[in-house]
Amino acid sequence: MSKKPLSTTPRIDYVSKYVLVVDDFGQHLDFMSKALKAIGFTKIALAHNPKEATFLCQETSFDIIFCDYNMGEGKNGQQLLHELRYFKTVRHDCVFIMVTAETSREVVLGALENEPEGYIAKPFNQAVLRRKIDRLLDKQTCLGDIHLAIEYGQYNKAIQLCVETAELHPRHISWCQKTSAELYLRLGKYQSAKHIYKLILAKRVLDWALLGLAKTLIYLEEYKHAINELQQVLIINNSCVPAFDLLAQCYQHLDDPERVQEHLAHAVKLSPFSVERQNTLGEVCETNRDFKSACKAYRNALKSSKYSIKEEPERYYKLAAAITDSMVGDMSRFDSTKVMEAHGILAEMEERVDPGKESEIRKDLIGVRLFLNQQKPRQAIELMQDLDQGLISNPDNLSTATLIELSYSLLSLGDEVKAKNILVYLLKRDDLSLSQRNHAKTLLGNFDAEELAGRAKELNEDAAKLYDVDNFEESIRLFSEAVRLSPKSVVLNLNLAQAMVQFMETEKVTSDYQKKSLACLTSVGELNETSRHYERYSNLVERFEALSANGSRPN
Amino acid sequence: MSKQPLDFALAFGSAVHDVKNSVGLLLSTLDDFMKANPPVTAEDKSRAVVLNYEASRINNDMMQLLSIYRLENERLFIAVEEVQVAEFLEDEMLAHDTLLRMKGLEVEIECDEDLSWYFDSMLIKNVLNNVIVNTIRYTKDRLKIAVESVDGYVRISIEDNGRGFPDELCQDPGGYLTRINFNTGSTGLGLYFSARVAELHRNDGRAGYIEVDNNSTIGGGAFRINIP
Repeated sequence: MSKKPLSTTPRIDYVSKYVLVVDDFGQHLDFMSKALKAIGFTKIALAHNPKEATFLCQETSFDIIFCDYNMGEGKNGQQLLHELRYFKTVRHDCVFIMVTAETSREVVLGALENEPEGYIAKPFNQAVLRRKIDRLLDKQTCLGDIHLAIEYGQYNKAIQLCVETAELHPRHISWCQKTSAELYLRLGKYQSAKHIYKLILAKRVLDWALLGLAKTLIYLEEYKHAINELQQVLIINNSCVPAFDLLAQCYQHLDDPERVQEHLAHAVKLSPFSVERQNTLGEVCETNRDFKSACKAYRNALKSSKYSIKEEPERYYKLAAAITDSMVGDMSRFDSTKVMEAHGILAEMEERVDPGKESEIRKDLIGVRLFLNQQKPRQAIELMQDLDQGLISNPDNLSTATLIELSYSLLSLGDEVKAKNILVYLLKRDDLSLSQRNHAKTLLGNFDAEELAGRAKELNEDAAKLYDVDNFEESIRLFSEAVRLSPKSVVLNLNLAQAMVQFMETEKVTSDYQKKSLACLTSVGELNETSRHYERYSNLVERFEALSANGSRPN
Repeated sequence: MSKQPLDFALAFGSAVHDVKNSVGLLLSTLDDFMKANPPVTAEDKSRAVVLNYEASRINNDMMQLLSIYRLENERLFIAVEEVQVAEFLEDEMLAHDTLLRMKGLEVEIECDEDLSWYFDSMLIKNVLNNVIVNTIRYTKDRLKIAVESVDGYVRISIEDNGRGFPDELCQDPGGYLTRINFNTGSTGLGLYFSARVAELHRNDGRAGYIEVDNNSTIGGGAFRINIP
């Protein structure tokens, strides 16, 4: 049987189709423009980068989009495709063709939404181009009704159409099965989806079916089983990004933030440009108190967001906050650089985006922790008091992100009662992401179950003010009073120890203070690395030991 | 300013990206040029063939090199999908259209229209590209692609009616270091690449493999890739 003639499909109407070509290589855009015109297209748009492409998509509903996978730093075609689909900037039946210049497909399998309709490898000639277009347009026509039904949210109808189409056009069976399964998931019909995936896997072990099955198991809350399936995927393809994402999800549900971080870190190494992924990674790093990695993740999230059309203030706040929290509090050169950096990020935000409704609050909340980490507790407390007016009594009006920041700043100030109330209130909200929920639970869990009683709190605040103006001896007296009233308080013990250590560093070492600061530090005990007081505690211990080692003779 | 070690993979990938853009431009410009100035003399025709052929080889070589680098560093992902084989082969031949016409070769494809199989279309395409370009050079005037199901494998054979392959190649097609022949410019790298790609395709405990022999149905040599 020799080659079949090319035109067995009905004439395609090129003239009425809108085509977009996205590529950073100008010469290629020229080539495409000429080639497409020669094929018969008349409505051709060209874009040099994803931002341009997105703007064009907002104005025109394209039928076909060609997009180079690799467009230079910070952006690739996969990311653009994801955003266009996620924000529904393109129709469901838009044909997206990924143009790759490499040997094998770098784009890895994902959910239906993230896969292009086709791939084409450079260099290609006009004949190949036309063939590719013809085939894909033909396919879209066959599947047209299904796409329409999905666009209108008529999932049951779409599934029915899938069954019919599979019979009429056996070449599309796989697509129909895949689509049906995904639609069942959207409808919450998990057993039906499971059934389809298992049927496919019985015939051949395919990674997309394993991924689909894993997703289904996650919905069914069978996390350990899902993990098994995902490990299998990684055996077939050890660089499957969606597998790592799903593993991270499983471990989120199993409340194992360290595993979550491990898998997300793997995923971002393979696919660094996703803003969401980097952001989630940042959040889980914070839960694990790995502020260095959190900074890195938030930096990447910010960088990637600059290439997208949706630059948000949140990216800036997160980064500035993480830089702040990564300060050790020892007034070192590194710390001062961080202060400047945090301020710089917030300034940059003002220039580039609309800072949003709660911007002053968010900036001030970061400001509180900046003061604390610069050993300026009085200013921190004052700033918080200014914020306090009306803020905490009306949490309903505040966003989830702001509330998390608020609780964290309160905790850093030692105001555990208020922080706890906010966190408890927060956990009742239903708009928390999984990582936010786990983070809030972790913060809540870290509570040294005591509260700063009224008088002790007052004394603490007064003492802080004295400390701030270098009146160490008086502040030490008041801190001691406070500790007498609330001897178990970690915060108070650390404050007292700090005041004494500071005095001994700047004035003179006394055996009395040495003994007393040792007592404070001992009473705090061996703090766990996950405690929010850990950095401060270990820093103080270091400074205390340095004092004894310096051989300053006690009086 | 701190000196960061060069991420070779990144550099390599970028270089390949660049080369591909250039080669693409080269080939399309050549096409345009030939349409505007169709070669008349036999010499011009053969020059056009050389230009096209060599540009394609640069492309193939670069891609292979990158793939092999990735293979060695375990960064090569294999993305298996369901492929309509007949369509796939037709598209593949279309890519060599210009060269085929210039050399006046007769092409046959023997494949069940309804056959679909599971493999990484990009990688297999690269393998076939390489073989086809070589076959075009060495065949007399015919090229045949035959597809058959054999023992749970799908076998794609590319046959020619040229002089055939040397024996030692047929013994061990995938080994290459033993065979670098600077006279003919043959490194055996292409076959090594093909063997590794075939191997990466696994199903049900079985791996793919290649074969090279002179049992071509049209009288020359044959390259075969078997995918489980």
